[in-house]
Amino acid sequence: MTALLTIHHLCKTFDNGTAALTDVELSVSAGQVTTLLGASGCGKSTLLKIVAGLLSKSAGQIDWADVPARGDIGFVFQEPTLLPWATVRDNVALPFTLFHHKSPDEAARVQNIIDLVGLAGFEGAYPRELSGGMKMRVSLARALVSKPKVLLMDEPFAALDEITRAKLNSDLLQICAQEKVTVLFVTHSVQEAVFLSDSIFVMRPRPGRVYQHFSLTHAGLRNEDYRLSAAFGEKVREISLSLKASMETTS
Amino acid sequence: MTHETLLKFLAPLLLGLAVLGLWEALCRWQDVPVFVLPKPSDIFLALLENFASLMSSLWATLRVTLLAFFTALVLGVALAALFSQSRLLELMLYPYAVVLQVTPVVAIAPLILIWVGFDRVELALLILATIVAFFPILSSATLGFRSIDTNQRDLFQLYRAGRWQKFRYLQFPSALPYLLNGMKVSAGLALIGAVVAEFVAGSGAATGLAWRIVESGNRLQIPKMFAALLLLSLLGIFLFFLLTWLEHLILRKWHESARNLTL
Ligand SMILES: Nc1ncnc2c1ncn2[C@@H]1O[C@H](COP(=O)(O)OP(=O)(O)O)[C@@H](O)[C@H]1O
Ligand SMILES: [Mg+2]
Repeated sequence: MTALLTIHHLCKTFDNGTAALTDVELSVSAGQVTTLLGASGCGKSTLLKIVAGLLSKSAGQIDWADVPARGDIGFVFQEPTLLPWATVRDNVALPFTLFHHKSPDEAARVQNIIDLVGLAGFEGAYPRELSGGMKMRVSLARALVSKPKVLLMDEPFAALDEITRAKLNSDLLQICAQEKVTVLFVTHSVQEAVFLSDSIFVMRPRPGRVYQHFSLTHAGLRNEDYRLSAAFGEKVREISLSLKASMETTS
Repeated sequence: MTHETLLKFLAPLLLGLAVLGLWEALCRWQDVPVFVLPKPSDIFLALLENFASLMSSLWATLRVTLLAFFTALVLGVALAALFSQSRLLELMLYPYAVVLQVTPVVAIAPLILIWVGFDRVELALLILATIVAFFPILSSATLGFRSIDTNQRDLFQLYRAGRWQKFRYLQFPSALPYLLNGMKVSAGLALIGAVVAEFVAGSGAATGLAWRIVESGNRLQIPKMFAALLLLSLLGIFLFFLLTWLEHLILRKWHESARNLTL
């Protein structure tokens, strides 16, 4: 499996002296879903923002297989972060608007991705007319529209109810498979991490670093039955124990 | 129109009519002299008798008010846009904007009048009214341009948006609800500024409503004074409704505040 992105000895200390990350080692394989799992405050968002180039690192290295160009990184925030004055279509098309080119190809791509996330028929709606889950779908479509190589997602479904969240989890897997996009996902939910991921990095706080790594293989379809299976339950248990231990060994 | 909105228009209207009726009746019954408190019917007659001169005064005041409002709007938004691009400029200039705001316009009127010359009173009125109308635009636009969510900022940075793109696609639309609110306040102040300036600086060739009020006061034509006052209030109400309607038109699709037209 080729690594799309490897991180070595990454450290981040904020200006106010908070050490958010020390010596983080991890790699993201192309075509996989890699998840950072950890309690709040262990530097997951900071790590994601450094990878996205939105924050500077204090030390360490981030090696990309290909240096990302504009539009090669998609980002889904915890809040949908939509422009309230723009329609669904215009929100999804924002990356193209900012790239200064508007071709028929791109209009077709926008429509295509709106269909893929299941929002056909809502192109002209404004964000306030949508439910929380639908807003998140718009946010996902916007992140994917520029065909990014990697999709960074920072607890995207944390604010949604359990049923919507489960549905979005399975849809996300299908969408990412179809788009052939690599995902770096952040969550504090063990169930979500196990359901989505090929690779999980459990992180521990103060300062944030990687505690343990798990590779997962999923036998068969990942659907609602899978959530109830013994294999799934066993994985959740194993990783929950690791997460618990990571909290207890805090130095 | 729902029952609720109908009530919202009818209730104040009915109260107004009742008060007018009571006023008329009391004046007739008590034989109140017309130079103390004219009856509504006297005011109405004065309005009809002096219709042409009052209308030309109304237009003179409206013109100064609108010119001042638009000048303040353009200058205020432009300056706020500069502030949004340069923190240093904001730190340097904002205190002076506040000084301009807290200094009573009445106090600077004589100075402005001397500067622009007594033969150009209209320009002095315009400047004075603009000074009064300027600050709400500047402060609301400055606040609006600054009130950007950090995630939205990150989003634009992720796609490497330039300064102008950030302004055009993020800061300006975010500022609109603030700005439109500031415009409502500013339009009202432009009218107040125009009237106060005319009281202090006098009127040019075109006599505004404020000067009509002074004039009819001096001549003890109290009904005419009330008629001019009535027109001033109507003008203020008209401006307020116009801007509320504009706000509703622009924001109704996406902003919570404009979901229902509230006045
Ligand atoms: N801009 C900042 N300035 C200072 N400290 C910060 C900043 N952002 C985050 N932190 C701190 O860094 C640590 C990690 O934060 P974060 O990456 O948001 O964690 P997580 O996403 O895992 O909850 C926290 O202790 C937080 O208080
Ligand atoms: Mg976070």
